[in-house]
Amino acid sequence: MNGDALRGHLELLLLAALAQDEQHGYALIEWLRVQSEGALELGEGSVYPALHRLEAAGLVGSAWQRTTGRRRRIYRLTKLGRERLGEERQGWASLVRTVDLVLGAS
Amino acid sequence: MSDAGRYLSDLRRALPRGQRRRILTEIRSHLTDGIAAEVARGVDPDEAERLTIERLGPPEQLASQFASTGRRISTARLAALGATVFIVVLAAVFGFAQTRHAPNGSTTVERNAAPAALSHVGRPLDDRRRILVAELEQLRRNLALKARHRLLTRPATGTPPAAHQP
Repeated sequence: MNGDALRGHLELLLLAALAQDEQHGYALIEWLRVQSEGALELGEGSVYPALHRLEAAGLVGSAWQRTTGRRRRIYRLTKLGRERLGEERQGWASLVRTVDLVLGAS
Repeated sequence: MSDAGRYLSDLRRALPRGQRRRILTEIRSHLTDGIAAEVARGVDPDEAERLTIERLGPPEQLASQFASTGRRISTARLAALGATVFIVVLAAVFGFAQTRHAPNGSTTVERNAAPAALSHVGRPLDDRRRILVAELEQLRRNLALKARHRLLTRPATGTPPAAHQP
């Protein structure tokens, strides 16, 4: 899959990742790298601004966690974020169905 | 300075002041994790550092993506907040002053009519409040006087300014 196309859905992907468990930024990026088979390789720093946007929108919460003398920002899904993820999943599924229909018909 | 150090100082320069601390802490942590992960995969430390930095993207580009995420209070919001606080305080003070000047104002009436949030306040603060009310009243009078003065001295519209008159 093309990296740019994937990046357009970065926030949805992050919500999906956080639905499994709370994570810090680097772990999320590692997860995305594995899930997307390296498609997000360059400019993966954009995950951090995306997380901050999600937090400003109230979909994600965060807190500092101190591990081995280092501070990490841990992100977790809020109730609102979980609701939004459900809506976005439905929207995505219906989009895929529609595109499949059109592509199948041509 | 290491490449990672240079990356962080470039990023710091490109970030808005209010967002620097948190973002720099996060990205520093990211660099440490990233380099350690590559080294654990058997990559040479210098190459691990280069790779981790390259994947993050240019510092200026990263900084610009944070521009719209700030939860900092904007100047406009701060001004609005300040104005609200000022109005609330004024309302409380004048509300109190009015009950105090009420013609039949016995002490109990005054106390009951005073804003609930202030009703527990003790004597010394009452005195301070009275001084503040007096000062505000003085300020109001001065402003009214100044405004009247300005109205009286301003030349009528259409006539040339006073300086040019004989």
